[in-house]
Amino acid sequence: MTMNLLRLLSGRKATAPVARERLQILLAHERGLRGQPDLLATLREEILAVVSRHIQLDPDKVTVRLDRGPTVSTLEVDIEVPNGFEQAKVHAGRRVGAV
Amino acid sequence: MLPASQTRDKDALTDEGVGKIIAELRTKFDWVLCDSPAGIERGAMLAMRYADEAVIVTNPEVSSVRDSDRIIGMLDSKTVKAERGERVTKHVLITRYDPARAARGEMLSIDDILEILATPLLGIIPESQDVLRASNVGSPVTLNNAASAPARAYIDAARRLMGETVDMTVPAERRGLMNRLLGRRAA
Repeated sequence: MTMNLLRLLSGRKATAPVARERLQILLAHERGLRGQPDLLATLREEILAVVSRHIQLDPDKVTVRLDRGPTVSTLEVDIEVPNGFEQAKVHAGRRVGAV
Repeated sequence: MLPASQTRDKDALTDEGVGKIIAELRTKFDWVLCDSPAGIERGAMLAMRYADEAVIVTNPEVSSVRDSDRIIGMLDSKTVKAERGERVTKHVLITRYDPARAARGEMLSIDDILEILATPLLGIIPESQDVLRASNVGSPVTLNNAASAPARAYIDAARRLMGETVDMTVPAERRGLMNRLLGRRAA
């Protein structure tokens, strides 16, 4: 009541209710995501495991990103591979062949 | 008091290293205050990792309350205590609060913030020019001007943290006669 009166007198619109509503919407969304198991961490670990079977990798050089778009989301996997990994693999193959 | 990490490379800190230091400090001090760097990243993660209690400092802005909510989520899931199935005791400290603006509906109220964050209140620090004045000279407001409204609010909050019962009021500026006659003046 006093709040409304003060607002009338000041001629300004109360913006706090808008802030409150924005927060409630934001947090409802974010808290929903939080409950899910960490999809990106799981993906990163499994991709790392598969690639490591064939190529020696630095685990820190594997980045998995998910960009959410309005209609489609992009999953970006970036793996930095040391030079010469193919040769290493060929050598390994030869060795196996020789046995 | 451990200030927030300001190293260029935040990866200089490791989980084990921080754990070791906190474990050592635990044996020597009653209170170990661990400041958290800005942003919700590795630095903040490590600052809270071994905490028994957490003071979440927020102000009545949407972005600040939102980040506080995320930090509360991390306190409940990513701390050593949470992983052991225990709980980190949490408190909210609201800074830069202006009761007059909140009353006019121009600022989120204390009740709004507490309802959204669902975390008990430790204290309310009023918006005040004394804070910048103290910060300018590199001094905590509690030492620079202990009689100022924000200093009294911080001291009350510290006493509550230590378990004392202190009435939850928002200290107001004590304006001198000259100030009142001259109206609002720049610092």
